[in-house]
Amino acid sequence: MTKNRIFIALILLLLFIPTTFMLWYGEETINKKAAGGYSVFSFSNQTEIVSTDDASALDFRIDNLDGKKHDYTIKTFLNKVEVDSLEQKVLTGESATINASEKTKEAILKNNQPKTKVEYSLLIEWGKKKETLKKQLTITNEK
Amino acid sequence: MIFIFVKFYIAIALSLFIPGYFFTKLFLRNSDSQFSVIEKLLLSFSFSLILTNFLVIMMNFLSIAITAKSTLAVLAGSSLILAILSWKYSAKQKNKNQITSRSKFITLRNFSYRQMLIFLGIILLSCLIRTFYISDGIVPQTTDLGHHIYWSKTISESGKLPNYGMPDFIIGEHIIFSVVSLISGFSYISAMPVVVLFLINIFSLLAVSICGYWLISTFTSKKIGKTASFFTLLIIGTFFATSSPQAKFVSGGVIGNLIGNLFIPLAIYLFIVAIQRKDSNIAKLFYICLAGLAFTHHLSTFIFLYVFAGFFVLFIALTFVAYRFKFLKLFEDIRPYLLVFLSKGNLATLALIAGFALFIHMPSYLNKNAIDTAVGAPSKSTRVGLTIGSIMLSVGAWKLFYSLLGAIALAFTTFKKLSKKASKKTIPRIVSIAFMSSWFFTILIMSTKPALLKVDIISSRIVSYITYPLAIFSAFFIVFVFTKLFKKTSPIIAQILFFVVIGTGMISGFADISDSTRNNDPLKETAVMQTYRASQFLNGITKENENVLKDHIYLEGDTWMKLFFMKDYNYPLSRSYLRRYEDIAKERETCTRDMIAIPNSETGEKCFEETKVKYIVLKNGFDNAQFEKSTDFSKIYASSNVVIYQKYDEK
Repeated sequence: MTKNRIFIALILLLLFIPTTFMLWYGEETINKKAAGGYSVFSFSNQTEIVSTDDASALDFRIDNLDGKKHDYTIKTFLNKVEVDSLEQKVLTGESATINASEKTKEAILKNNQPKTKVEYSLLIEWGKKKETLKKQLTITNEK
Repeated sequence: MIFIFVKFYIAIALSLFIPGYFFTKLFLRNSDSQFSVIEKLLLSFSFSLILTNFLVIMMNFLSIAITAKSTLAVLAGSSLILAILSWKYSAKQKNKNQITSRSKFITLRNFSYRQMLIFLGIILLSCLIRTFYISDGIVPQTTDLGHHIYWSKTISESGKLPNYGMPDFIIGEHIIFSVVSLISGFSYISAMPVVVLFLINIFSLLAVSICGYWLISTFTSKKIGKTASFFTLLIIGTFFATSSPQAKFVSGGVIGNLIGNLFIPLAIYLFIVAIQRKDSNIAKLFYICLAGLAFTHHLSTFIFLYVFAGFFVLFIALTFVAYRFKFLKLFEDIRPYLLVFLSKGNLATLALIAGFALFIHMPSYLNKNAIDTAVGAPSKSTRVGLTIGSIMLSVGAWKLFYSLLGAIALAFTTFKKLSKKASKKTIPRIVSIAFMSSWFFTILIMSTKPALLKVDIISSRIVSYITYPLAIFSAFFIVFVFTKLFKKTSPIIAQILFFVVIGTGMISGFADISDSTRNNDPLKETAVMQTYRASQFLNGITKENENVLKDHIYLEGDTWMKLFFMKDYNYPLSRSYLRRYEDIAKERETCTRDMIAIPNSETGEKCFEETKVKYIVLKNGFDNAQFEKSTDFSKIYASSNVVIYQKYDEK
């Protein structure tokens, strides 16, 4: 190889090493940060209507991205009055969809008139942390 | 993983190295051997970038869908055609006449092993500083980059070039990322965009170093020019390497400035070489480089035009002095140089570029409104100019001080050169001196006293362009003074003084790097990823007529949310910094602020109705109270950093 070719090859090598490092480090960091250090709580669907036939609006989901398993304590409130409480274990990196208990469904449907608006809220506690979710619901008789 | 890396380097080779190599080889067939390998590498990179842009614009014009296969085929096919043409023409040329005497022109060839080592050492250090800075915060999250990458993703997803509908974006800023992503398969939410910008920044260092060589060696000597080019590379590459417009702009995604800072020194370099060698083919490359600049960044083009105008004025003034107002002789001497730029081939090239802009793709900023916005009396307090103190803070006191001394040294040299009788070398010398001076002083005036030049652009943006000429001026001063000192004083005194100057530069330049270390909070990157996860969630539930409002003040990485929806540049709507809503010059919409601040008020309700906003994305714990209390909102999503509220639909 001539001197010039060695020179070019070395310049390209000097560019190849940091670019490859940054690409690799970027992928590693993004994957690591995307999957670690927090829990996500969300309602399974965005329906705001609950009927005797369909109570899926009450279902919610927990994604445990915390790097360790957790026992989540979930307290259910209707118009700020506690109606139920349950425990849910979720392993690290896993998700759980939680359907409302019969007790909760009953409390919503039997104690409220059709077309009334109810605030359904959840207080989720794990370790020393806590988080809330809430949904404004309309009760209906319609099937 | 390895396969995607291999594809990435194929994409980089095809879009940033190979086509430009054969293209410039074709143009430089008469003088190929006069160029050093670094110059060839720089030309290959820069013209590949330009060609990639023009080829993709042509594909769009011919209604060829911009996909991985089509771009790969077009880039590979074009490279092959250019390779065949350059091989055919260079073979012909060799048969015609052997290469002209190598010592005829000033060249940057023949590096000794020691010079090569120094050069590689500076490049290594420049790469290292930038790599550490960029890696500390590698998760894509910066505002500017998010805006730009949306358009690149639009190209990839739609298979055609976007209609921006605003003058803020230019097509040349986005094509390269689309091409690399399409061919390599790298996601836009990756380090890919900053890696491409890193390469552009490193090549801009080469451009300014080579440009410095040509500017200085034309009116001094090859030896001084070469030494000055090394110092230029050292100053620009390693001192103040993380401040703007360098690594900070790379991680921030200030794409236009970075590409502008590659093309401006490249254009000046090509202009000087064309003059030196009276080579109309190099003048063609100069025009094509300017076209590449114009299709990439409006501000850089604007700055170059001002610098060029300044050069023209200085050139006229200096030639009048040098020729003692003997206009006939002056015209006789200038004529051959004019012919270099105004040859038939070059006029045809200009006509082709004009035709391309008129009939194929007009840069989005070329309209009366956009031009009126940039030209005229400064209209805002941010555009009235900076003080020298602010410039010092921006570019570094050491660099500004030595560049001012460099300006004095240049004035001294100019006086000395002009006092001699005009000769064949006078015009190229004056061109170099005038261009070098104009590059520095025009930008200095534009940044400090913009009203004098009728510039109505944010002064802090203009000043970032002064960094490159300052590096050349500082390098010129160091070489100018120490060449004399080493000859005329004792070597020990000269060495001590040299280490004082370079040592203070290192202390000042590296202290700046240390101050600007990002100290990136690892939790911030997790917060960014939470924003992206929430965006994915929202994208899965939003319907066609439902709008989303997010908070730009507190949310991390919110600008990138639009990449998950890909519905519109302004989707989701954004609550901006509160000062932006208070503008005495024009009335601003306030709904994006009011829907978060007072969602339950009459104004808030009206805004929700007008904008069809159904979901509001906020940082957890910031401006949440009104939504927590309200019975008109559900809280449908929560993580430690991001919450999403849903407006209750009574229907």
